[in-house]
Amino acid sequence: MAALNDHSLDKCSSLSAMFDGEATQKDVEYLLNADSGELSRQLESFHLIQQTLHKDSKVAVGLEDSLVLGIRAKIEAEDLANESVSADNNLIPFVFPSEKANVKASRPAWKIMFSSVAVAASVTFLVILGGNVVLTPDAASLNVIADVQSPATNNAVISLAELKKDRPQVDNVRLQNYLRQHAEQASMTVGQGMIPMARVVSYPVKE
Amino acid sequence: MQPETSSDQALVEKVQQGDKRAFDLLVVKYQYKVIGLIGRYVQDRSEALDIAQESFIKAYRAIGSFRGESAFYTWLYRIAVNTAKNYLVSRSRRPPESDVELDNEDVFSVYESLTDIATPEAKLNSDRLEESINQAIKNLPEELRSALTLREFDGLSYEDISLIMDCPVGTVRSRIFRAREAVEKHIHPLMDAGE
Repeated sequence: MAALNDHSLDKCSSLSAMFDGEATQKDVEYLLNADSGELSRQLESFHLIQQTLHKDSKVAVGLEDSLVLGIRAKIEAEDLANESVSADNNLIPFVFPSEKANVKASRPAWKIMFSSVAVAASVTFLVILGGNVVLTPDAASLNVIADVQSPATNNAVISLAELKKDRPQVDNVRLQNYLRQHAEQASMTVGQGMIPMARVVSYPVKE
Repeated sequence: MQPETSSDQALVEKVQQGDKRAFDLLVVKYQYKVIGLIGRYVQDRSEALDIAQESFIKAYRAIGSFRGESAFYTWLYRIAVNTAKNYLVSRSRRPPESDVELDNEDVFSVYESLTDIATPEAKLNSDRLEESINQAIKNLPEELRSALTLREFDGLSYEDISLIMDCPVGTVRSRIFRAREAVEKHIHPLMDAGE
């Protein structure tokens, strides 16, 4: 008990010294192990004594350790929030589709422009190449007999070799054939497709 | 280095190493001074406490950059004044034209300008407390009263008081502490009643 009292006495003595700005390293060590509420109460009375001697207004506010606890709680809450944020940053984030636009927007503008131009150039090249392959008749295809079947021509068979003599007519037949096939396919999937088909088959074919 | 600067610096270093109790001790030590300082800017006690809390939290967050080029309290004082001014600006209230002088700030009453002490009951408690403290100081043995008044009135260091009183510094320290302890015992019932 006596040892406890001595310890308590040391703490109060250290607090008094700290209040006067005369605390030593040993005082600081004592005070670090003390209850902050108890220290606050003691310091308040030291302040009141000082104010009385200075003829200042006095009041016992009773701060005790409310300010200390409030500050500590707030700091710990902020630290906890920061820790959870940094933990979240270590995960690979899932990006919702709606957020992808924002993610893309974060890329540099020159990268976006370059990739757009590259895609556009590739598409253009493929379209031109494909068009050339489809529309240019090669030597083999000239020997192929194209079946041009339509209600209008009624199983008429036209040789491309013969048609070669009159090229515009051949092209016209090929176009008609293409349009008819397209319209037939469309009519199989959608009812509305019948309308363009009806139009196509009603086109007059130049003989 | 002054003892106060030395002990504060030791506490600051502990905080920088992650010791939160060391920061608690700095709060305990300076909370009354900081609230008294902020009381010069805002009159409402709860506002003053909020600003004090924010000031200490700012200080804690920035303490890693404190290099001890000035005294800790000087640094804390600037944070508290800026926080109080920012608070007033955010509330569209004008801060005082001139700042509280750091040298004069010590003599200000901690709570003299805070509104909730102006109630008649609070005034009565304050008067009773003053009377009680004065009575307790009168009743102190001569060497304790001298040591306390030399410290509180004249602001002398322990070393200077030891030269005046012709005794070791340890004795001065002990006398001042014993004087405070005796006064505290005397006013303790009043403080409990005031809470």
